[in-house]
Amino acid sequence: MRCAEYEDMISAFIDGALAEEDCELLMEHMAGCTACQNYFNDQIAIHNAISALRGEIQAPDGLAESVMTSVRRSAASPGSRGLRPLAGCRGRAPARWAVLAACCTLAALGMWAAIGRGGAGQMQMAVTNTAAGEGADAGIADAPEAEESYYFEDRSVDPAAASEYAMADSAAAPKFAETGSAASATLTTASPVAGAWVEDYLGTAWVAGSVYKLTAAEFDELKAILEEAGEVYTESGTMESESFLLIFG
Amino acid sequence: MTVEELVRAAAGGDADAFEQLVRLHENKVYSLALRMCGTPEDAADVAQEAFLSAWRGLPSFRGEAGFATWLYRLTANAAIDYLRRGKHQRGEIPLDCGGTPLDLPDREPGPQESAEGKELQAAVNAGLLKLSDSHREVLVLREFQELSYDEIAQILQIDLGTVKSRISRARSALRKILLDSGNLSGYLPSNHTGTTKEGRS
Repeated sequence: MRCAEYEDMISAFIDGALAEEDCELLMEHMAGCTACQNYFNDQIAIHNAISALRGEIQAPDGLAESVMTSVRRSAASPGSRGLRPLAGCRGRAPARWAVLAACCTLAALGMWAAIGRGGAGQMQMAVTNTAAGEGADAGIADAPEAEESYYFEDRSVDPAAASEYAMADSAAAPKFAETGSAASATLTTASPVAGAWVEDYLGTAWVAGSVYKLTAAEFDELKAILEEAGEVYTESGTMESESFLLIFG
Repeated sequence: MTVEELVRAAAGGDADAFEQLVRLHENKVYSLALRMCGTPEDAADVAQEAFLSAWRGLPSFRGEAGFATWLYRLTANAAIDYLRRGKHQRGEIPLDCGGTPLDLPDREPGPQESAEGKELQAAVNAGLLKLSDSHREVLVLREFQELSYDEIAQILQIDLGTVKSRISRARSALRKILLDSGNLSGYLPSNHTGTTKEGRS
């Protein structure tokens, strides 16, 4: 047996996971191997040093409060834990996504066009589109065959903050890469707005004309819902590149 | 209320019960996050993300592994995601974290030994941050969280054999870092640190 294999035994010994017969083998080997004795002694010393460092580190003041602020904000909406059922709708209505997507596309492109031009006035136009989208949503909310459906909690991006970025450097507008119709778009971190947002979130989705920031887990969940509903969606970008991921119908 | 009762209440949407769970576990969660990420800022982000994941996941939590283990898994996963997204900055973890040496000799260490022990602790503290992410993950879960091989396998979603071998490699890598920085030499009673490569088969 090679010394490297005895290193594994030493590791298991430290963890109290070495079988008795292996323990005897190890001791026999170390009796005649200075290098493994040294390795053993070093590892015991390291283990003891770590033991001295072990112990709970005091969480910073405000951590629990910060967590609970987010939790209570989501709890304020019944059933919400980041995802909540659509108001007035108990069911999954695949058509909903198509309708929403149509609204989304229009509103999103309107919003990005507004941001790209860097004007607060144009941003207002995007907000108007948002209202139209919500109206369309309400129109299908009581679909009789509805089973269950979800949308993401209200964490919409503050348009003022977004336009502030755009106004700071209107030349560096978000980069659109429209493919054919307005069915998909790619926004990269080349955009100062995107750069600010991807700092904390991996994805965005447009729902009923509002921009929602999603965590990676939520994003995966949304994709699963879309797939289950048989909806068409497009994603682009990767976690590694920190590009935006956009979803449209 | 017991932890189990708090978990059941929180799963049913009771935010107050969840707050008690957060306060019961925040130090452990933060400690794990800090050990894995290396900076207080990153650790606070990771801890927050872990608790929010717990809140979101509680309705489907089945309790097979126990709430604390499940929460550590969420924390470890949040830290791993954080590390893999490359958002972290390696920092320094304060040495004064409490805890008591478990396996030190019964006799009181002399002043020199005590100073050497502190020195080695500082070197280990710094050395942990120089490990690869995968080595640090597994060593932190084993040495600091004192999780079993099975629990680590569940958290990292790797098999038991890989857990054992990765812990061993991590220990070996940490020793090499300490040897290279001269922090093991002179500390050990046998003083044989210089013969590591020699005479080994």
